[in-house]
Amino acid sequence: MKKRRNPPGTKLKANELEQIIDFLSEKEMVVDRGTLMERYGEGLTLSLARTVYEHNQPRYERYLLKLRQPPEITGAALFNAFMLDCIKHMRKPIYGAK
Amino acid sequence: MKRKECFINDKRRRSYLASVYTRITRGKSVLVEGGYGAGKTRFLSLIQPKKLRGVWVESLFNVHETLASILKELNYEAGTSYQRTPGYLKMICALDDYFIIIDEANDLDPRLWPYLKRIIDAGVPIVFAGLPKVRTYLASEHPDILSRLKTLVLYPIEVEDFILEYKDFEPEAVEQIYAATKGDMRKFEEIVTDCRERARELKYVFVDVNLVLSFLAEQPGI
Repeated sequence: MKKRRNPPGTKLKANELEQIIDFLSEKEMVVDRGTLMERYGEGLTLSLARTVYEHNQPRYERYLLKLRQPPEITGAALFNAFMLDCIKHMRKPIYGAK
Repeated sequence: MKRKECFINDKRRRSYLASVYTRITRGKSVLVEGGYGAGKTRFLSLIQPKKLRGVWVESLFNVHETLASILKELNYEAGTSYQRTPGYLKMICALDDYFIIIDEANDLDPRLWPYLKRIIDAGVPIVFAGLPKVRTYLASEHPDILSRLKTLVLYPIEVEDFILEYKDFEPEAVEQIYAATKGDMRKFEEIVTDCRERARELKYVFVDVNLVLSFLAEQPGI
């Protein structure tokens, strides 16, 4: 049986995790794949990532104003802040407001 | 140690502490479960009921050393003799107004569990603390013991509680340490101490996020 091949020039659609990584990279975050995969395993989706980002955008802007670090460290710090926001957001429906 | 010393104002932990007091007052036992650095040992140190005396037991001891050490803590003369084990067990079961605390329960000698079951059944409360594998082990090897315990799962303290606690740190600085240490409270506190020292050296009154990020960048493999 012949293997099916994609026609030359076509590209496979990125899976959801890759889409989240692309989205965060566009927002100048330096993504730690291991940490992101943990959150993804806990139920983080692209739409949730977008919601969390939009909801906390002013906070990330404040972060950027404060940070005086090389782009790599600034991007990683933004990603850390975003991950904490995701945890906070995902915790709410389970445990209720603290 | 005062009850509220070093105790971050976390609702779940306060509720767990109340639950432990209720259980041990009724002569029932508890298993406090949590991953590395979740704060199990610190939580145990907060358990100080007014009417019961706490007896800490070293989980690395073998059976006769463990039983003897309980009696010694209760001011009895007890030599660590293998032959006296049955007598010691009877004494421990007959005594009251105390409870036993066993930290690092994952290190306990498997031969000790049946003895601990007798002690629990005699109405002496035991508070165990250990990694999640304690519950896994008990579920497979001693489900009868597990059914006698109330399991309290200790999650790492949430970042918002740390922000409230560490007032000499910028909130963003606390967030970055929390994220870097992935909720391991032991590592978190080490970095907090190091950053405070760095701030003192630089004559900063406040630990800001840039100082923390520069410090974290120098620490490979946190």
